[in-house]
Amino acid sequence: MAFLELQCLSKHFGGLAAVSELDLTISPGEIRGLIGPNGAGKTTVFNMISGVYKPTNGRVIFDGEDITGLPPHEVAKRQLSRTFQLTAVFREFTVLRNLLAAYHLFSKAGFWNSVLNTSLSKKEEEQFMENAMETLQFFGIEDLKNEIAKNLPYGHQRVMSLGMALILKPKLLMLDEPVSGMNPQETKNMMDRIRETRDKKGVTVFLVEHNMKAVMGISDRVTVLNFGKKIAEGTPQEIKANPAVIEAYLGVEDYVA
Amino acid sequence: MRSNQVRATLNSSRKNKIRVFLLLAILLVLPLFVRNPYILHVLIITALYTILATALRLPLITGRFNIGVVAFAAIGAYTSALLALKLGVNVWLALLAGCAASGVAAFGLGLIILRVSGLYFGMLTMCLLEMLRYYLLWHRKLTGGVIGILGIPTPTVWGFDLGAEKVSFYYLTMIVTVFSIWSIYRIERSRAGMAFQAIGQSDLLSEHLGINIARYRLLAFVVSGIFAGLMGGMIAAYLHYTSPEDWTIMQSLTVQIFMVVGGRGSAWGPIVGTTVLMTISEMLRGSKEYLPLVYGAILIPVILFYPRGLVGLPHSISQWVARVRQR
Repeated sequence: MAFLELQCLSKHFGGLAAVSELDLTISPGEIRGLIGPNGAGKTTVFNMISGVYKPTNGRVIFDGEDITGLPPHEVAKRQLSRTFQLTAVFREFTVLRNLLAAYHLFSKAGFWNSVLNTSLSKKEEEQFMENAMETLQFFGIEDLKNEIAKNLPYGHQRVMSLGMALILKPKLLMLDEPVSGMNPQETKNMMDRIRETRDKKGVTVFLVEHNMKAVMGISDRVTVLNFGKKIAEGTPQEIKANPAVIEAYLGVEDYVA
Repeated sequence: MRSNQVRATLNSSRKNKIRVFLLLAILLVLPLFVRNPYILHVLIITALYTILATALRLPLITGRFNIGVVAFAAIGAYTSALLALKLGVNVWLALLAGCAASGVAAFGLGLIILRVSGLYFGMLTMCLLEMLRYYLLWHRKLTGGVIGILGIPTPTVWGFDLGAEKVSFYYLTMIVTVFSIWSIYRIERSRAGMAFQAIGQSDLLSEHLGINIARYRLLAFVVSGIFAGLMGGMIAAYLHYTSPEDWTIMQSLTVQIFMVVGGRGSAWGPIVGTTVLMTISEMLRGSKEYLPLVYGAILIPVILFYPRGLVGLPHSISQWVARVRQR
């Protein structure tokens, strides 16, 4: 049973094949890791799913529906949410207002009620405020609610972005390097929150991460990309022992050294 | 600590209410003490330009700087003037039609030009303003060409011409201005306004939260166009006259300067900026040719050292005083 299915997905930038003919299937409730050396096409895959890029070829099937090429706001409506590699937050908003902005799709009061600040709209906003506070508590950052986002350290901005993504009540949550730049303690906290999200809310998770310990520790299955092609897929144990993967990564390390 | 913050926000909203109340009270009783028609005239013009400077902020919040904003005022002015004068339409209805025409123009143009961002958007709007001016100049049969339109009527209430006395038009202007600023303020504070601000900060994140960024940008642009059209219709009626020379790029830039000097970040900004700069410009009435120089001399330090504009001054001064006292 497939929850997210990528069929023969390709993206070409001019002559460069950033992703080529990728087939990938994620089952519901799974935590799937996507790894690969820099430039392997991981973020491009995310961008094709969430609608930032239109795929050159292939299809994206989410929860039984073909969502290939839909714009991001349409994809978000289908309860598929994501975070970004370079942390994207509303820099001038407070933490609380950042979360409130994420309730956009849930606002039913409509333009006029909101403009005239009717009791309907007030009640709705109060409800959003309450729920947002719960989300902040879940991540233990309720004390930061009145801080301006741009003044927060990156770790907290990351956590906040995840909070915003969760507010969309996602069925599938895509995380692009959720722990990069975090210290080991923060990393552990983040991974615990992600696992908790899956266990308690049944959210399927698809994550890109360079921190091998973190990604191997949390994923049920891992897919490995290299030069836009899938070179391996399996449980973390299988991946760690896979000669093709070792070669791809060793190659990179040789180059760096 | 937290309760302090709550108290602080409550205080600031209460202070804001007091400020609004005081301003409204002053505007209401002012004509009782000021009979000088010249001063009333300046107040009317200032109030009308405040509408334009305020309307300009909405698209700016979504990240689009409309340099040619007076184009929409011109559309409002010409539409309402022509309807009232040539077709004999009731002046109130003509004013509304002017708003509608500007709104429709903003909708049609916005669909195309809002895709472009940054400097290119500004240049596009500037070009569109110039194109409109050429149309107004050369389509003489309809628009009166360089001479413009003369004898535009003012609205009437039960047979009483509101333009007959400065005082009555003063009250009409203040009602229209307060209504416009209040409407725009309410929109800014609504969910739609939150979406505008979100889009202005990050297209990418807003989209992924399900905000239809094209639609909200268009909404901001259309609302801004409608109120610009209202301003145009009002000022044309008040002066009984409109011509292409009233709607030049220089005029448009002046409105931008009003807003920026007052403060882009606050609804008070355009009000304060327009009032202060209009006062200065009236004091320099005898030597108008130096006006751009004076505007420039004010604008440059504000942009360089004080991007929050004049509305930020009291706060900074009180902070500075507190710091000096601590020593």
